[in-house]
Amino acid sequence: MLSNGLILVVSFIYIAILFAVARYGDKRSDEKRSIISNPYIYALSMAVYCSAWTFYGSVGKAANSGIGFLPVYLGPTLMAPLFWIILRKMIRIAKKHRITSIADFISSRYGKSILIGSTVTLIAVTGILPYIALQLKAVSSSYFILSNYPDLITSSNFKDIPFFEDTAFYITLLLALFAIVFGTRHIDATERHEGLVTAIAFESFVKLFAFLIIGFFVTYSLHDGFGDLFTKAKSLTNFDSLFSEPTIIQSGSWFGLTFLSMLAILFLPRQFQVSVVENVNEDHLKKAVWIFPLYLLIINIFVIPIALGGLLHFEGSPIDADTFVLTLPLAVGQTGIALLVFLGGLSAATGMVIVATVALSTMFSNDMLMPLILRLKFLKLNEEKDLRWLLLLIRRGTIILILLLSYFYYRVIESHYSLVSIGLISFTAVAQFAPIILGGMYWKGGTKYGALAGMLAGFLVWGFTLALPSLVPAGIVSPMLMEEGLFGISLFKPMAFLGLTGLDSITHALFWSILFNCFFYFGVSILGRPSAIEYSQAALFVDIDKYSPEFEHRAIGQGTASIDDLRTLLKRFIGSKRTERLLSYYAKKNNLDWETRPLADAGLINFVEKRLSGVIGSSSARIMVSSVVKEKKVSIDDVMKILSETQQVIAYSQELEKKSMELEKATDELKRANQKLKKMDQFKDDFIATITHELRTPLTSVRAFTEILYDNPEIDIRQRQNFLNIIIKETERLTRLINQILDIQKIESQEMDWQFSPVSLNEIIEDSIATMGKVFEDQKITLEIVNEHNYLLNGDKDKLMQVMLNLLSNAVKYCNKDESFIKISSEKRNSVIQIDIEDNGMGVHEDDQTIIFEKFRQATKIDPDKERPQGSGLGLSITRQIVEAHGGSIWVKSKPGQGAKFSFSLPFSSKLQQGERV
Amino acid sequence: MNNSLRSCQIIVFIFILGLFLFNQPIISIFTNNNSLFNFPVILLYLFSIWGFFILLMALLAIFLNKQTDSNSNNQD
Repeated sequence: MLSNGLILVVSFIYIAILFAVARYGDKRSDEKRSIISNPYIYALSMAVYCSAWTFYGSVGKAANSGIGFLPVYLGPTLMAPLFWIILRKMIRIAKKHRITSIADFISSRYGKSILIGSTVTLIAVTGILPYIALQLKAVSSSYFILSNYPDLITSSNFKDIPFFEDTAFYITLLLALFAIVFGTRHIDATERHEGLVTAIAFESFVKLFAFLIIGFFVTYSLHDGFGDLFTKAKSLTNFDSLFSEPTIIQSGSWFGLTFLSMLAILFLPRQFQVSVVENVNEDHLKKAVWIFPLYLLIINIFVIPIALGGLLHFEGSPIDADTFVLTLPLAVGQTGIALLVFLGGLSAATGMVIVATVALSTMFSNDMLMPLILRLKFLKLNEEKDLRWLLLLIRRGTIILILLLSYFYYRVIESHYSLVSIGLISFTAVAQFAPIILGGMYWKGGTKYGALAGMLAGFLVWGFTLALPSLVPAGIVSPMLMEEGLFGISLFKPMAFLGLTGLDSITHALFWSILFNCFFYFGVSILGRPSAIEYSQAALFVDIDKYSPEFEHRAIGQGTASIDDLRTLLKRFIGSKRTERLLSYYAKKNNLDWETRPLADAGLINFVEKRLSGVIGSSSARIMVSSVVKEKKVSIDDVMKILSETQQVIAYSQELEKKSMELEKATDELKRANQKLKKMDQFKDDFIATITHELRTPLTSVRAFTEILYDNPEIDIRQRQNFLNIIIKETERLTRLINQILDIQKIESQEMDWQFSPVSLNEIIEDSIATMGKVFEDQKITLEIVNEHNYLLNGDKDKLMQVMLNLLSNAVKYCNKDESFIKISSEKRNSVIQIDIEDNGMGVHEDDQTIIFEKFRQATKIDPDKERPQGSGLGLSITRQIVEAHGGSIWVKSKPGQGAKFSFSLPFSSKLQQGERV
Repeated sequence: MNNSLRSCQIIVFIFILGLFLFNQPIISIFTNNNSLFNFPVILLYLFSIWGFFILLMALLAIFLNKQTDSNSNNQD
């Protein structure tokens, strides 16, 4: 047993820490270093799903029905992959329309209707209030157990405590303070409550930690691990019914509960708050789709062991299984663990209470009270210059109201329910939003009256089949109703509606309520006709990514208003400083000048309405804006026309974009081709310049010498011989040059007559060395030949000779003149024969190593001090083309000053024996 | 466009797979008196499928990430 004082101090310290954490989150947000802009925090904040119900109730449920606690967590797990489709679309819609709550979402979709908004709010409040009450009850009873154990709890000694002595009452007040401080920080409800979310994520961590500790304690300290626990548990009387034949699976409630939780994870107001309104970046969903289910898995691992541990320990005693997590450590004297568990339960309860209260109060004030108050003419709110105080007052007031209502609800009905049943009743209430939200997001045909009819039908069935029976134990509803049916008609028994039996009460109610809901929603929608605003909102919701803001303005607003009126309107709700900032932002973005334009266009009106929506909800914003705008009556045909026009414009602009992209691509290609042509033209010019120069040099000397011979017939015979020799040499050079040009021309135009036949490589090498023999001798060149084998090639012998000769004469030309050295080697490498010709000359600069094989290009990076050998720039290009025509390749490896190694490879045909010739 | 259609298909596939694995009649195969390593088979089945399903979604997350990367690259 723990002293009251200690428990109180610990709980208040915990709540103080919560305030500090939230303060820190807000501080980071103010410094623009958001702590919640992070997928892990996002997933943790989603875990607000696990309330005190999870913390205490799961074990209770497991002790009574084995795996029966699981569907509530399997449902959200199953839904998780669909987050990326459904939740993402909800986030996009909410951001675009500045949605503040689930009621706002639905009312905005169905024509910004106050009627819809208030109905959703009423259903949500009716459904969730008991759920909040349940959390307060959990806090209160856990406190009671902790301080009174081993005295057994009965409802009588609970009721005796006046509320001002009840800890839960003070905790409720603290939570109201927390929700007010961190939940109504901004007047604009679409602005994220970063501190609040940080605190919620923190609480999710605490409850997980506490639950794992008690789980480890029961499994590994009280028992010898999972196996030991299960072995011992076989002795329990109800063990077989827990696992071998769980009735939950047979009765259809397994599927019913899974389905219900799938809807709850999307449509519970608190889940909508954390996963849609507080979402920072839709990409965080990617991680959340698996981290959130993982959280659920981890927090559930020890549920069964704790339940079995409790059953084993307390078998036969009247301890409520919902309290096992607390009573087990207390029973074995581990008060420290019990205190930690109490804190875990407190965190689970407070997290849920805070978020649910903020969500409910936002919808209560924005979608129900505000629109009503703004309509009341006698309040003369239209004359107020600044309404912000009223807004904050209403929102803070509703927070206190909701929490106090929950507290007194819990005081009235307290001990009549287990934790799980009330939670499921709430789930079924919010499941009534599923058809109209999903229908509204994916089907344009849903109308306001359809939605209203569907929701009301579902809600009535829910009330009759679930809420009424739940009030029977408290004595509020007569048990006669249950047995005899409404007005004594047996078909109208709440638990066996229209005679349907065999289902548990939740599945039964879920089935009937959703059936009636869908039937009325779709039926009334199909029979009715949407109004203009419903039609345009439907299109904007369903095709969220299709319409750009400009089109939206045209479809929604058709009126005109004076800038001054709009300015006054905005000032009343967001203050003059922010109003001026917003208007100048809009003017800057659209290049407008308010001085010259006294009338606002549809775009500005829509902009103002959106801003107001974030503050007072979409239906209130609509009322306020239409009070200052002279609206042209828009018919549904107008809207349809505008929508189809805008669609056409969008399609047209998409096509234009596509065409212009294609055009751009074509232009790029043309540009590239043009550049290539220009380059080639440049080469051609260079070529002609080089060639004419090359041709003119021998021609000039031939002409000079023939003129000398012509003018001086008496010239000495030796001199004449000498001159004629020069003339012959020069004409030979001329012929060679012309042959080269012809060769390259032939190869390029593919007119070369190739004479392919088997040739011996060594023969080619020997023949070319023989041809060059005199040159080698004259220049005193040392020749080294390395060819171990002889290879057979398929090629044109003359052309291959030309390759060798070209490379050899190149090597000679660039050789070191003092100690000339040339090495020829051949070797088989894989499927090719590689021939290397190495010299010890000046080498080829790296930049030139590919250029030199191109036509009319010569090495450019040559040491200017050295003499530049003569050449046409054609030799290596012809060589390359011949090698390539043989299916081979040619390259050079060299470092300047260290000689060059020219290599070419040819496809291998076969090896020849030594001395064998072809 | 094509990319998002593909991810939608993968998501719906995983969803339907889960719907079958976690529901009747498949789970009723495991509701019997047998136990494996002392654990009731139904517990082993549910928790391992649960883990497997989370793994699938972690892979889905990787896939979605890659896809947005390639989308943004296309836009560059």
